[in-house]
Amino acid sequence: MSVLQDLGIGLVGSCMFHHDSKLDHGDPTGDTLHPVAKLQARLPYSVCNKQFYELFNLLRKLKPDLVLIRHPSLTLSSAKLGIPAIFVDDEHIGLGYRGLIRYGRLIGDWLSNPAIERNLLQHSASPYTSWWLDQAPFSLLGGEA
Amino acid sequence: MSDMIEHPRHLCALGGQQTVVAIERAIPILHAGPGCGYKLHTGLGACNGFQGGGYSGGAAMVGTNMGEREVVFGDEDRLRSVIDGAFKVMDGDLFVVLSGCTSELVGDDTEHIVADFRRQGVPIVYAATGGFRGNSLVGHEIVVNAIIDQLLKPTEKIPGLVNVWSSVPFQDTFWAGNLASVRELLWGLGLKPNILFGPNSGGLEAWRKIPAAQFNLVLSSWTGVSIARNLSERFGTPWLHYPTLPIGGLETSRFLQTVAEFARVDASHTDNYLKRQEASFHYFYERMSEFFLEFRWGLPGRFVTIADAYYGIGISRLLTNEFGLLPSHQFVTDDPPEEFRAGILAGYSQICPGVSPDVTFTSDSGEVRQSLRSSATSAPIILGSGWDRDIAHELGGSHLSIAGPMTDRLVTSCSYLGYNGGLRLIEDLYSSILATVQ
Repeated sequence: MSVLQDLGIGLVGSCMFHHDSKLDHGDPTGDTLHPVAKLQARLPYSVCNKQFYELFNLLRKLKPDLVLIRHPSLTLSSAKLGIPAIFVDDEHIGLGYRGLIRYGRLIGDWLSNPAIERNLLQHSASPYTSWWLDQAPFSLLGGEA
Repeated sequence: MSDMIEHPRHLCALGGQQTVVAIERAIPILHAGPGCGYKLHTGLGACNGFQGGGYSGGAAMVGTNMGEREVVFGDEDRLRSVIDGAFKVMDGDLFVVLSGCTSELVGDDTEHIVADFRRQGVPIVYAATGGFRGNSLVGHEIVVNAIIDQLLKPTEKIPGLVNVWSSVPFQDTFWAGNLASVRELLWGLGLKPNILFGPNSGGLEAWRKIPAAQFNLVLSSWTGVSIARNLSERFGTPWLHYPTLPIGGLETSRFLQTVAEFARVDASHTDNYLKRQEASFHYFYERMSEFFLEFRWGLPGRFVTIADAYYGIGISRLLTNEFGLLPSHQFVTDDPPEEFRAGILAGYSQICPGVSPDVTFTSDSGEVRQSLRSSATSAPIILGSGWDRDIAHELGGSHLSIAGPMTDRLVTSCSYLGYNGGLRLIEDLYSSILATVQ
């Protein structure tokens, strides 16, 4: 998130399907997210609050210019919305000054010709019903009532 | 003649012998020096996907084997006896006498001698393919036009019959597969393709039907245009020129729509056929997309083609418009005649909005290598001939042979044309890349 901001890319939102420093490292001080979020109070992020069908619904309504995804096999669904979608296989690619440039070039190349997303939007269907896509993204969350 | 070409990709006009070899039951007779025919077989057939000599080609073609004595005293008598002997020994339906440099330079009247035989009712023609007349693609056109001029007579038109002038036999390593794909696509539109070369193409009988065609289809950047012009003058046959290799979903549909409109195929039939073909293509495209989207970080994103204009533009459009790659420098190697160059450049400049690669016309591999070394693109995908493996390796890039000569592939019926041809190219390219990392 901070690398993207260094590159001048505005963040609409971010979500983690999993973030649990205690379970992963046995030590809450290994929490890398909390300090960043605290420093930058306006960083929009959430942890483990949605299923993919909800994310798909949300992306369809938000229509961002770019989606970065780190979960295998979910990039395709986002690309089907016609949104340039990049799978960040190696998160260390943006490390250091050279990494920052490399990261920016990859994103720039991808955004300059998102042909796959264009073709998928035109020719590939998503598995979700039109009823669901018309609903608000979190309308199926259980409420207090 | 002060220039030198390093690592040639196209040979001399006598290479038209391979066009004869590709016609079913046709026999080439070479009026040329020793070694010419075999070297051309090696360069255009053997060291080009190991295509083999087939029925009448290879190392034992009929020939006059002109040496010093024949150059000094002429070789017309021996040509007569060789042709006479060929009729007795060789089992063929069509004989084509091809002249090499030496017999043309010493002034043998080959045309007259062959005409004498033809007057006796033998299907034999003469093609003036001396090496100085142009490259082997020009040699192909000379052979085809010779058969048209000397053998064909006007016949009644057959509605829907289409003569196909496309991938040049043997010189385009994937000619047999490509022509089979064109046949399938035109059948799909309800037309009757006259393919003329390769398996089940009909030999001399199919060639005699050429004047009966509803139209001629030139599916190539420039090779074949002189043939269509000749047929237009001789038999009044209209012709359609589609200069780009129809490969993948977008370009193949565009090609079929263009042909359907020209041939006045029923629009609803065309729509239905295209929908079925596109549905199949996009089924695999969607599944393949996951690989492209998820391996993005690790894959090279820029590509170079070093090929004839027909392949170069087609492949550039496929990789750019359907797979999101970006074109780096593109090299056109088939020395297109001047009148076609502006159109070829326009084909590259419209690859996709905002994306226009640099294009260089050159047949010289040395120039290609120098240019690639000095360019800023690192680790490109290079789609070229077997000659280009070394520079791909030097630049840390990837390579797939899609043009002759190639000795790193064995090719039979592989096709890079049509919807499936597009999938096949992507399979071959990325299989070769994955093989280096898995």
